[in-house]
Amino acid sequence: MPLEIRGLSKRYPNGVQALDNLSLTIGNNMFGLLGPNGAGKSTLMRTIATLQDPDSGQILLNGMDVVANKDAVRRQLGYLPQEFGVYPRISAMDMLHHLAVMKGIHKASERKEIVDALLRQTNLWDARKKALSTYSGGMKQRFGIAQALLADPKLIIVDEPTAGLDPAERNRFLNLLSSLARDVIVILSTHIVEDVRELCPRMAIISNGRLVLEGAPDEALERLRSGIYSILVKTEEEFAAVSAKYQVVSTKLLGGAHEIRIHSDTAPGDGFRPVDPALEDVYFLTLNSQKVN
Amino acid sequence: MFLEFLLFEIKLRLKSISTWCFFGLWVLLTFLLVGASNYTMPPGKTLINGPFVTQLLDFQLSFFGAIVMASIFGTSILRDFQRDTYQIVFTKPIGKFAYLGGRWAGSLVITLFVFTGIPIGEMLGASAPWVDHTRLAPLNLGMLAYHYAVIVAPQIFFLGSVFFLVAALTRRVFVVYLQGVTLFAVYLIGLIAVQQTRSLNPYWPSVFDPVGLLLFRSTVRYWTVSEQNTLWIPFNGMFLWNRVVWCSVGLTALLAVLLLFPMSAEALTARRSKRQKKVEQESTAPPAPRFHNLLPPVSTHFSLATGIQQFFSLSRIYFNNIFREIPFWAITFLMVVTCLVNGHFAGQVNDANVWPVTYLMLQAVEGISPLLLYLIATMYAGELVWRERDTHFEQIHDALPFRSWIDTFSKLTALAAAELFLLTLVLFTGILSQIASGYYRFELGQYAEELYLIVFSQVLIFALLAFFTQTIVANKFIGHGIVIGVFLLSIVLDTAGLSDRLYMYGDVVPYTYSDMNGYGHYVKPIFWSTTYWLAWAVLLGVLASLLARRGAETGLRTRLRGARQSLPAYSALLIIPLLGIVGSGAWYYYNTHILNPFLTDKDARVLQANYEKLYKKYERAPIPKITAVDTAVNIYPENRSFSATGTYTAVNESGVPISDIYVTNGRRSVRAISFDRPASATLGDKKNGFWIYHLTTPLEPGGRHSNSLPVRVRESRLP
Repeated sequence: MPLEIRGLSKRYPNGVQALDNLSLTIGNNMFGLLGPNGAGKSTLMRTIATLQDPDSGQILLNGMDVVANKDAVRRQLGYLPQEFGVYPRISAMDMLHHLAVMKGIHKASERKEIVDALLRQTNLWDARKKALSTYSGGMKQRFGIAQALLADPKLIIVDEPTAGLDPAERNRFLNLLSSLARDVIVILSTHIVEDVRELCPRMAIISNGRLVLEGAPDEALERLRSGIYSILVKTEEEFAAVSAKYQVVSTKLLGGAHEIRIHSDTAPGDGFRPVDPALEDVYFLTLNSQKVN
Repeated sequence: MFLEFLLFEIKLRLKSISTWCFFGLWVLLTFLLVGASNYTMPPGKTLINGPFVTQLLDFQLSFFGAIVMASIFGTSILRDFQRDTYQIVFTKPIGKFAYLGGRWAGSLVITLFVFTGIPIGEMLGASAPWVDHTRLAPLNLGMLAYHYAVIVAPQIFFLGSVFFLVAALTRRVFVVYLQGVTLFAVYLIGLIAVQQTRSLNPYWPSVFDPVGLLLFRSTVRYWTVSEQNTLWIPFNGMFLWNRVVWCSVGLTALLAVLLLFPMSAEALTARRSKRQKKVEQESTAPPAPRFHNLLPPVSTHFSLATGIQQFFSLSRIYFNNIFREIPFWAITFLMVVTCLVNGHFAGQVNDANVWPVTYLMLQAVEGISPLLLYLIATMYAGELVWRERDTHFEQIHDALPFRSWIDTFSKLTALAAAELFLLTLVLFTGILSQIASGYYRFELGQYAEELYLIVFSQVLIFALLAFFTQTIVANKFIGHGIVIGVFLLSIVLDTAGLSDRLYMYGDVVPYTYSDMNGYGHYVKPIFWSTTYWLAWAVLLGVLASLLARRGAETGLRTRLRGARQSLPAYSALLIIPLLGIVGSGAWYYYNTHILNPFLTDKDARVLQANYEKLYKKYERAPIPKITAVDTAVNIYPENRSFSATGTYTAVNESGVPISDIYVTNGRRSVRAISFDRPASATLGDKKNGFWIYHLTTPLEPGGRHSNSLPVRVRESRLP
């Protein structure tokens, strides 16, 4: 049941070109959508989630036009937006029951079962009767994924789900996502490269509304194998020397000193040590080569 | 530092639309009140822009402006807490006096500016070309300034400082909302209480009158017209003491704020953090890895039954949104209290104690209730329309598989349910008051008819207007302003004689109920005018559904485009109310404009003036004196009409021959007239109702003649 995006374009009234003739095919299983802030990920997510229309292009879910059949898409959709608030003075349980009705779960017994199961699986069972407005950030996010999973959705969209979660929360959340069935499309839109590395067999990188890379993280990493080297520098001059000679991929702080990672087809020698390529290297390299282009 | 806060406050307000809206509203209202002064001001020779009128406007609009004052002074303090900037502001080294003083002074300056709309509107109104120039005085800026300074400015100082104090110490939004409303209700109760004492010159109540209406009435009660036109309000006696008392209260409020306001962020949010228990640290053990999803299977179903389930679930949520809010209960409490107070006095009609029969009780409890019902409708139409976006829940909500109209319909249902609840409370307070007076004949049918049929329809009409406005306008508070503006405008236009019930939104026929006659002949007009406006309201509701916000792009243009696409599906829902409008509107128009032409006060006066101009010359003409009248009358009580044929016999006692008989037909009730001798009509002015019949042979002095006329009077003109 593929999701085909064909030539999607969107320009906002203030002139920003959010999507620029984007084409992408997403199949079942977890799909990671990477890109910096403002790349157009949220616009794309909202368009697929039937919340806004593109200027041109098509989105086909199993052959069905998404933009023209919003109601049909919504019946199969589970959506966790980037930021959301909650109604005051209502408990998680009541809200989930209400949303279960809204999603068309007819029988009260089925509703009770699914709501209880989701509350347990997201570790919200103990807090189920407390008002949503008293929930911490992590708990609210877990509620968010619970409501997205209510009616056995075939298309799940999570937009920046782990931003602001502490490492343990993040772990639990990713664990939950990874356990979802194999025949479901899950699109994980994020700027945290590690999330994609941990979860997604396929990914795409978006920059300035355009698709700049698509494929399996493993393949991308394989292509970079033995091409990434690292060196620690301590002064401005050392850095200038390195960046003049080689293609700098990223600069990181490592225990107070600056670690420079470079990309080079041949061994650079003097002070550089080879390191295993990380997905972040793929990410930065791809984005920077776009900038050069 | 103080200057910094002051200037910041002023700059922020000047950039805000609401400030200019308030200002514009005052100018417009005053302009209309003065410009239409032929009808709103005391008649006769009182100057339209004289001191009396200035005083009246200043006092009255300061009273109504309490809400504006509450809004400006309250939000200046609340801003940091609403927008969560207090953590940034209070961790800087700012002085309390500078912070509070700057905010207060800035609010004061802005409020003073906004209220200058009153004298400005007055000046503009006086210069309107259609105003009666004989009642205008030359522009006297000193007079305007003096009254502004002694009436409006102290009100702003005192009320503003008190509102500021309350907002600063409670730091909650709904308190700001409620301050103005509470002041109204409490004040009105106080006024009623004072009126009951029937004292002619209430000195002490006037001195302690926080709003000034009673003070004004007491001060100018016995002024003659010439005093009204020349005297500036004297700054002594009652008036002086009143200003002293309330300015000191204002000063005390300021001192209290300065002393009691805690300047630390911790103290300021103590209440909030007390409620928030510290979140337990969650376990950091590594989570067990999951391999497959263990959720139970569910089946989804999308049919009419689902739609109904969705409707009920949504309505329940929206219902809770209203019923769990403290402002709603506060207004409800206010309403119950005023109803009980009014109900207590229902059995007193002009000093006589009568049984508080149901229709009297209804009149009493209805007093201020419609206003509060409209207030709830305005507020909660806004809250409901903006619910998802205010709570930032709209992205999840809008992606759910429901039809948009179900959402709109549930919101309207919740609002209607809230209003029905309030009306039921009114009913209970009425019954309670009757029991308290020892009267037990509650005519529940009468209660139900009046409250649930008539009043509820009017509230619904207004609520749908508010709902529609909030759907169209981009900002909830501008929406509130527009709705309140329409309400006030209709009152003003009505007193200005500019209103035709067909286009004054929601204007249903006023009626009188009597136990003998029931609603009598008002039934049809009430029915048709209510149906007319209900049809309009339904149309607005359907349009609101068509244009409802959904999704991430909610600009009006986008929604209009989407609406055009949904139009065919909505066609039935649009055509039915349109038919209703045309049908009932046509009946109403026919009856008010064609059958019995609708005459405004102005029209009536013009007619009378013409009549006098044309026919005054015949005033002293000799006419025969009627000596005998013989009529056969048929009365039709169901139609409130009668027909009659009568014969007048008249004798010429004037001493000169009379050849012209003058017949007036002001009520247009005479259909024909025949004389016992040859006569012909020489003048027939149908419009002004004046005929002259010329007798072929003049009637000699002492001669007698008779004429007979069939008359038919049908009181079918609609009120």
